[in-house]
Amino acid sequence: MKRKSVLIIEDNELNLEMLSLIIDKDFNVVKAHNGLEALNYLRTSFNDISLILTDIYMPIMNGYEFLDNLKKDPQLSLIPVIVMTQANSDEEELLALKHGANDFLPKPYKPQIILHRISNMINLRETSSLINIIKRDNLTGLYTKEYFYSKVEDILNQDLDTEYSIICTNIEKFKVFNEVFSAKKGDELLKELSEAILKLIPQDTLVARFSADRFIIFIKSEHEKIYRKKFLATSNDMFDNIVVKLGVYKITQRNLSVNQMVDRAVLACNSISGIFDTFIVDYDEKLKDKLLKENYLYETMEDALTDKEYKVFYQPKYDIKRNVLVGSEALIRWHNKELGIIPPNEFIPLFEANGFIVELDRYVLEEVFSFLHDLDEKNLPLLPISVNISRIDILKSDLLNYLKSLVQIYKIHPKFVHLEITESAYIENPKIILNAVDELKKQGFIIEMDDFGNGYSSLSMFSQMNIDYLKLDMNFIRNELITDDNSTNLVSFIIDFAHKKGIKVVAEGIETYKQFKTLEEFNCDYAQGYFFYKPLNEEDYLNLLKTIDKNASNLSNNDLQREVKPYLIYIDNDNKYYNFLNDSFNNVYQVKMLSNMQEIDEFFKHFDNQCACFAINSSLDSINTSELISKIKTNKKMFKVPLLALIDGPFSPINSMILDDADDFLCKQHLYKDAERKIKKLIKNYQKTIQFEEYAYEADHDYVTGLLNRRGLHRRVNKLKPINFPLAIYLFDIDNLKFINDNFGHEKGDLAICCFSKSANKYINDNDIICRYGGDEFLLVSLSTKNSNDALALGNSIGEDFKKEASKVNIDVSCSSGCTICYSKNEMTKQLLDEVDKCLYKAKKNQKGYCTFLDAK
Amino acid sequence: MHLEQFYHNIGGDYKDMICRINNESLILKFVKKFPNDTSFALIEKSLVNKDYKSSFMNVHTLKGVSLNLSFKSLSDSCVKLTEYLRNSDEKVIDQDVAFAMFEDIKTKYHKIIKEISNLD
Repeated sequence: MKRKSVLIIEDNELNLEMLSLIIDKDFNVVKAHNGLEALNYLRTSFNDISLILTDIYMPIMNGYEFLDNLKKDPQLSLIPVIVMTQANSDEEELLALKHGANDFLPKPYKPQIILHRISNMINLRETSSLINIIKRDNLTGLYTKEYFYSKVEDILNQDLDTEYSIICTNIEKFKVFNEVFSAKKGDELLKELSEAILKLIPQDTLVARFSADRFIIFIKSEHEKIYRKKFLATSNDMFDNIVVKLGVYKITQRNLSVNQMVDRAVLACNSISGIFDTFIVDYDEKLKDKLLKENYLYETMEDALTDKEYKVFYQPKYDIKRNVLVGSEALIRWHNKELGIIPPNEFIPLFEANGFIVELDRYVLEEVFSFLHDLDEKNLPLLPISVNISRIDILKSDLLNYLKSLVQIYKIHPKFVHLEITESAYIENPKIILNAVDELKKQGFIIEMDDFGNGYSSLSMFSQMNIDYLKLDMNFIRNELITDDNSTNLVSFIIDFAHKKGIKVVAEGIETYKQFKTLEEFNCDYAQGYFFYKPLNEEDYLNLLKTIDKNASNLSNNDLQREVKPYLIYIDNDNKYYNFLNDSFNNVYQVKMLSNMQEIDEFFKHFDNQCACFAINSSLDSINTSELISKIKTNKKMFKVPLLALIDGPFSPINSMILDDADDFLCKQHLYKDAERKIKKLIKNYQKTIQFEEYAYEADHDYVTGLLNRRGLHRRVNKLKPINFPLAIYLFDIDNLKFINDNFGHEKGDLAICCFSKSANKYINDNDIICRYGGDEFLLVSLSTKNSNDALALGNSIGEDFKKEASKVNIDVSCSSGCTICYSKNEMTKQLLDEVDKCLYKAKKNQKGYCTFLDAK
Repeated sequence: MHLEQFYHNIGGDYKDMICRINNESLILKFVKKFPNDTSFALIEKSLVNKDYKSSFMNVHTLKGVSLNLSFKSLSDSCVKLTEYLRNSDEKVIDQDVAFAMFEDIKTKYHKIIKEISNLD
């Protein structure tokens, strides 16, 4: 049984000794020599004392005075006091009682009587206090904290043999639940949960409600093993919206107070809060150590700053496609003098909780600016460095001004310092963060969103976020890699979506070559991770920078210019020949060998590059030549590419499938240098054709609008066939274009013209002809318009649309048009056009902005 | 010397003692601590100084101690002086009377001390 303690107040040493010896038989003894000494002791240790035994006559503060003082203090007044009185002294007895003593004991000491009286008094007091405590919680019917403590203490004192455990439950995000579903629902939840618990638990188990959503269970350890699983299963089945977690402390140290035991269970429970896949944990010494460690970090964090124990490391970032260094991320490590190197995940959450993160982040920023300044002085490549910014910095401190001052002091342009803000920061305080980010961007800083995928941002929020880079964690990528199929893959979708918004994507935590290749396939822009480099200290990073070409680095800021070599695709199963091709052409082209349909499919699926030439061995069994040709011809990037048909020997048969489409033939047994020459010539001719086509296009098209010019018009008109007739011919005229050009500049004028082109294009098909006939005149041939009514309708539609498009860019303008129906090619003469023109001119005099029909007959 | 003998020699009540604390070694322990008590020395001092209040406190204490140890003879003597000094009014108390009573206590006290040294 845990021994209770009795405080003895007696100034005489001998008496004190005697009493102590007597009482020590059943109780722990605490000694005091006078009332004052006793009071001072009680003030801090009142919980430990079950009863006070006091003498009356003592120096400094006597027994009566002591009683008076004791009764004044609410915490102390409940402790029972027995006064040692003189034998046969009614006076003393009375006085003692008057001053509030619970009982008296006459001297001389009669040990047995003393001990019994003390025992009885303590029991009486405890029973009555139990009655005073509110036993149960109103809402749930579970025990209250105080009652729970008493009961548990009793049981532990009486039952020394059975092993017991304490379980602490926690409902994750209960506060959020309350806010979302209302406090009433929250209460209902608690009620249901407590009922469920009560149903499940075995007899002799005590359950109490400690705080809003915390239940504490006192249970026999043998039952606990079974119970824990049942409970988790039940509670997590019952409720969809919440998660319940358990912390368990098996009572091994009985000398702890119940309070302390519960604390351990609570500590265990808290340690798994927020951890995704852990629902239950047992207390162990490590947790206590963890707490102690956190305390230590807290104590030493500030001095560590002045002592420069925080070191900035730089982890290089790479451009995936070009495999060049494009920058780095600044990471912090704490080189604690006692504990050694402490990684950020151990102290950052702590610093965010207590606000110290602001100072730390500022320190890092300054180090980074200073480092960049240093690089600049040394004429080394100024690659941007990303710095992690806590949302606390944005919410609580004047980050912008601090950054501005750094820019001024170190003379580094903001674009060299990227600011990384986590996705969860955005979600928790959207408005503030969005505003802050806008301000920062105005100053020229680049914003990166870190840890994307860990939070739950909505698509609309995503559009509002003014970010330049998106950082994906490799864990996220791994988790989301459901299928290899690009079209349904979430990561691929995110990357594409980001790209469409002009946002670049960085992948973090790349550790293997396979991951690197995956990212390359998904068109991820940049990567960082141990696969490239671990975080380097300042010196090592500096040395790394020294090794790269300064010019190359400047490109990193004008990104996404693919300088990849075009492909020479070799379809065959011949490594020797592949090597020849590779050796010959490697400096100009990327030679890729594909040996079967599967590889071809894979390659075509992800192919997003330029293709210079195909070299196909059509006698290969593993290749379905017709399918292959079909694939090539239907691919926009490939259909014009020269096709070289390869045959094994001079007398080998040629696959008829390839005969039609091959641009040339080559025997593999020919001398290599001949083969090389042939291929080069083939490619050259192809390039000439492309070039020619470009010229032809340029010759036929108007530079500003992209519409046909007069030359193009004639060519197209000549190609018209009788079946295209009847058709409608229009002349459009932009009203007052000169006015716009003169008053708002030619830029606006050109813009208006482009608007017209845009509008007109909406109403025409590929076969129709639209041409910029003059400065502000357009000619349209519409093959689908066959009569005057339709013609007028079309003309006016285009006119209206043009007005709308122009107003979108703040130009107030209209167009007028004249049209006619033509029944044969012969009719399409200059005279006809002149007449249409005259008609248009007449109509404009009357009213601008409409379409007029010319009846040519 | 045996404890019972000791009690007899000093005019103490062995029976009473053994009744209350039924453990000879424990009683022996307490008895041996008796000389450490300071109240006796303080009585004389305060009487000389006519500090009757202190005298009262101290003789009262000595009374209590001796009662606890069942030193009946000594405690009786203490009672006498205690009662005489109880009101501690200087005007009333005759120092000589007090001293006379104290002498009695002194004799008994010294006897006890002597006998304790003979205890085994």
